[in-house]
Amino acid sequence: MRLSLNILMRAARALLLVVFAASGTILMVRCAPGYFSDAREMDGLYGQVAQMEMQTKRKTEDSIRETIAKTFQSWARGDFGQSRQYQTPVAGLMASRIPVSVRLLSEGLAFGWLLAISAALPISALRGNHVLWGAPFTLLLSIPTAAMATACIVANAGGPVMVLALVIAARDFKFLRHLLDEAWSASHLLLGRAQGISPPRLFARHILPNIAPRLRALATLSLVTALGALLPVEVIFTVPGVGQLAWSAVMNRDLPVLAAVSVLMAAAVAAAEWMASQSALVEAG
Amino acid sequence: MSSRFRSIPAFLLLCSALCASGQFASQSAPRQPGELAWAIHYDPGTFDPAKVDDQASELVRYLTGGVLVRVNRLTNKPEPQLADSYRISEQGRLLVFHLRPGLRFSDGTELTSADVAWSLRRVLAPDTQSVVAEEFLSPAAVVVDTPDKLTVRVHLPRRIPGVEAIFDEIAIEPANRPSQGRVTAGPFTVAEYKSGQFLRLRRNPWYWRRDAASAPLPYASSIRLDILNNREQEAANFLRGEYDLIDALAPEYFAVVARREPQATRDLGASLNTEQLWFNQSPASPLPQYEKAWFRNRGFRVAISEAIHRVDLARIAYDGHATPAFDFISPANQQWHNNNLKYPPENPALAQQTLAASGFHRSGGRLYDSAGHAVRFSILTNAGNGARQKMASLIQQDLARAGIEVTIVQLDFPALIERLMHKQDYEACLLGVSNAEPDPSSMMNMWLSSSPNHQWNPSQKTPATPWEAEIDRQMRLQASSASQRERKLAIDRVQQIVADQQPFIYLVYPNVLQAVSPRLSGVDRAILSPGPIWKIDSIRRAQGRSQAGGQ
Repeated sequence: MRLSLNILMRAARALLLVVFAASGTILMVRCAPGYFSDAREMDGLYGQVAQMEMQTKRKTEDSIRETIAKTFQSWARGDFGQSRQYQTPVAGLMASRIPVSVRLLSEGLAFGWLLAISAALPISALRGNHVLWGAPFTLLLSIPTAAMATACIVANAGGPVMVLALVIAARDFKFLRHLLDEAWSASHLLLGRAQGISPPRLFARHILPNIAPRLRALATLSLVTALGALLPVEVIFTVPGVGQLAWSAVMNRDLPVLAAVSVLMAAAVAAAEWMASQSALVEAG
Repeated sequence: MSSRFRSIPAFLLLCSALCASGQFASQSAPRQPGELAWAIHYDPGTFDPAKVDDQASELVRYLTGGVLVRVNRLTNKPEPQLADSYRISEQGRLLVFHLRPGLRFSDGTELTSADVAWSLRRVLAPDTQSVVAEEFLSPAAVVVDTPDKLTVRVHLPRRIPGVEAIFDEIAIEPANRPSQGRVTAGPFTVAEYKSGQFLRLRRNPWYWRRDAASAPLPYASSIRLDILNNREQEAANFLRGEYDLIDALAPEYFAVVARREPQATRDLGASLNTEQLWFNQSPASPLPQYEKAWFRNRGFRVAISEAIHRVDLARIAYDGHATPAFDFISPANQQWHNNNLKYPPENPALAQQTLAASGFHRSGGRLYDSAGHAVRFSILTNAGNGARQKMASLIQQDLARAGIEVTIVQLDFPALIERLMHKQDYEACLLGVSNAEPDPSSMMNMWLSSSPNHQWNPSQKTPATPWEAEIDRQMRLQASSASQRERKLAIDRVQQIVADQQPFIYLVYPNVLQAVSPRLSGVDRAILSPGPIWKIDSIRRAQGRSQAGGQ
């Protein structure tokens, strides 16, 4: 009973998060300077057409409250609206781009975690100066994602997966190393090692089950990190995913696309958080 | 090494694998055999040739649309295309086009005068809202008829100077079957489009033109236009051999490309485009009255023009790939440029004298107006244009020497347009104007005082100053006069008024910078849009791997 109530509460919280994200996005885009502008207005040839289009838009979208209400109503009907810049249904635009971003995220997360674990495992066992061994990751942390991606383009090396993996590894490495440090220094593990049990066996049988809940929480954080890095990575490497679409929507004040992207992102974060907390609850229950 | 250290080689291996994973989901589709590829910076707004209202759509119309006449981008003279000949009556009110026999659309159906008449009427119809229709001045009064299968007559209510060039912008479509560029009479047809990613155009197998050896044109099997608004990536893709050309190469990447592919790059000299600074003279602007008074003061504007070192702007901001500008018509536009123009010279000492004569004075290194207000203003410009940002900084330095404090405000385009066009909430603005057409009639919207694009004081009910009234008069005269000499005199007069009054302070003409792969043959580089691809049907790409990689 308590578990069901907990699940319900968390589902409601996730839904609220999505609603707030959508409303906030609509409000910000609608109030952003230049919402009723079109770059063609400056064009001597096409300026008048663009100005007429903007006047019509201003008439139909004058009230912010109505815009929010209309957006939610059309979503309730399963209609994500029409993209302002592409003049095509948002659902169609998103459908072709979501698989690209999901693939990039999955590969980035997988490689990022592999990198972080491969580095954290040996370093956690080192005696002495961990700071020195962890320095490359600390350095990576200080480099903005966009700078890393631009450096790759300039050097004509690496790619979006590598940048995403490095961003994730840099952020997760420290947590992982900390977790493993703690785990290896537990007295029962010291005893196990003294008895000659192999480290892989100790890791699989004793460490992993102990740190699993915290790893799941870290996975949620990784997803949030990856989602944040997705936009610059896709834009700079021109990956035709949701991040690139979002950037172009920001630059063109494409409200329907931005609202849909923010709902998608919020839903992804909420779902990840919900799954992590559910598994923790199930374990606790 | 402890067993736990065994993961170090695995870690290193992983790093190498990641470094090698350069290519993920590429923006574009793979290149097909015989395909040309380059980048456009925005998605075309429409593929309907009659409804083109942006530059990307204009390019697609150029590549796909069959037209009656095509303006030669080197000579600027119209040449027959689908029409094998045409004539204009003496009064200039009747055009008669004779079509080539045996013309066909890309789906194999016959192209007759009925299709031409239908396409022209569609463009002229008010429901279509075609931008081209406005060029006929009174589109509703234009009558099209077809005395036979191969003849089309266009009756105009009055003479329109250079009317034949308008037909360069009207693509002929199959009557009653508008197809969004999928059935055309031009060299290519729209085949595949992924918004925000790429557009693929396929060769029209029924295209009418043949080369000297009677081989069918176009040579290219298809064209892939990647939608890519990243100049750095565009240059990198060109160097990798993924793109065949870059039409408007940004000056900051010209040297990068030229270093690797010197034979590919070319600086064709001054373009028709201008970069200019102007002050807000709109009475509706929320600026303080004393600032409005500065900006309406001719002496103030002339002094600013005299204080700016244009050579430095061209040398530093454009890496030498720009030409100092003093006029709205570039010297590249030889037909219309006023060679006898008198303009304020670059001279900081003279600028001080002009300011003093206009009621300003210096005190402690700062400039003040007669009421004691320190002269300071902001220059608004768009973010993301490196050359423009550098120019703004250089102007800031030049004006600091005159005692004027300048701040630079960079906004993204939508926000900038709101400040500029809707709220008129700015002091000075630094932007450029792209002039695709050499004929000054295409600049009417900018110069008529009633136009919303008359930037320094838009949408005036009556001209605010006598010189603006004179510009209006001269521009209307050149747009309606049958005499070429009279038109030239009118435009020369407008150029002189603008040079005297400095409503726009012209800074530079950015040079035309193009990069064309040495593997392309048949390219005839032109300054006029669409630049190197204006003879697209004659461009051929050699097969094999290029020096920098690629296919």
